[in-house]
Amino acid sequence: MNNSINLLTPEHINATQRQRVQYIRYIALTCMALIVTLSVSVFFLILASPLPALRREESTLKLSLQSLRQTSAKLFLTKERLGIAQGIMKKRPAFDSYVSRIMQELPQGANISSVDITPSSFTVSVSAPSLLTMNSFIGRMQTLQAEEKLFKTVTLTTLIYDEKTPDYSVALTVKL
Amino acid sequence: MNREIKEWYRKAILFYLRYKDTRYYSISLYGGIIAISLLLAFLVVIPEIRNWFSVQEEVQASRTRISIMKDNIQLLQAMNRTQLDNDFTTASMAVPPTRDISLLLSAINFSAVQSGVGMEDFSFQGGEVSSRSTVNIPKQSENNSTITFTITGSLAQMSAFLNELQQKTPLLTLNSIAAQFKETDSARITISYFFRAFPLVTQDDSSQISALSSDNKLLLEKLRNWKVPVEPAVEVTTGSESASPL
Repeated sequence: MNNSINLLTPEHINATQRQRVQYIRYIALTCMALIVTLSVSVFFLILASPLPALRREESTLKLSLQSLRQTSAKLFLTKERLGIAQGIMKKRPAFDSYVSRIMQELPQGANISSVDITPSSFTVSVSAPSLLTMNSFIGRMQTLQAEEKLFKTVTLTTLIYDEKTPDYSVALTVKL
Repeated sequence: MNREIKEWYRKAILFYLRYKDTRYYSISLYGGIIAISLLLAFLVVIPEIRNWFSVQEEVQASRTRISIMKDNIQLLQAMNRTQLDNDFTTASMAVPPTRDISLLLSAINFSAVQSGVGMEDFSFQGGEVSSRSTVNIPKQSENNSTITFTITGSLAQMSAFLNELQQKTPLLTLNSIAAQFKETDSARITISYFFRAFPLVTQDDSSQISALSSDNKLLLEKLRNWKVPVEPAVEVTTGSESASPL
């Protein structure tokens, strides 16, 4: 076979191969340089980190805080107690205000003969010499329920007329 | 063994001499460098970079902790210790750490005196101490005790008594009232009062300590006015470095 049939001369082939090897060499050296640079840089970056100094400062501050533990514990417990107190005060029913309110709404001539209060309801018995007074009291209680929404329901439980006294007596059960 | 090694060494030298001037040698060498570089990148460099990022995060966290601790120290040092002691006593009287009947009786008696109700039949039930009053302790739980007692007085006095009782420490809750004004002018009152043991105070240095809020101060002021003139036996002790069992 004639050597001239191959258009690429052996010299040219060698040149191409040398060029490829050259490329590979560049890539290899670049990789190596990159790795070395990165490793050294990261190593020095970690070495230059302020973390050890910060940890020392933290330890010093912790020691300072040790002497203030009693104060911080008292502050914490004061806040804890106040939180509980706040919760109790929010939840507790205002019985005193109910009694005061009923006393306010009591018409002249009427008297409260008994009061039974539980957290969910209360029953109040009122006596008065006239039905008109009684009607006024019931009307006021209805107003408290309907307009001021102080109670959920107001139920007339009993209405008695005592001939001996002579007084009308009414018992109202109020759901809170 | 030694001979075998020598044989292998000789073969390696021959192999090297045979291929050192060919392109395969260069390709193998540079390929090896690239492979080792990649290996180093994955095994050393990338973990180191990750490590650096975690160090940075730790630095940031440490700076935050230091800042918080400095603030806490500043706050605690600036705090008026006497005022804090008073606040602590007031708050502890509102919700005592133990079941302290004397505090409760003081509150009831003080309210009775202020409102003018009588407490003639005031006595303990259940085999405990007795005096002139009726205090029945039907149930008690970890956090509250229920007490029943009887008062005598008019409706206005009872209302005043309830009002006073709601404004006294230790904090009370009125559970039920059964009042009879037509014949006896007396009321049977059931109340609950609350107590809770102090929690174990764990000292977390990195958490921000805040001063008493304005709401807390208002509440303290209210509780201070509600105090009955009795000093409680509340003592604060701190424990180990990490915890204060108060």
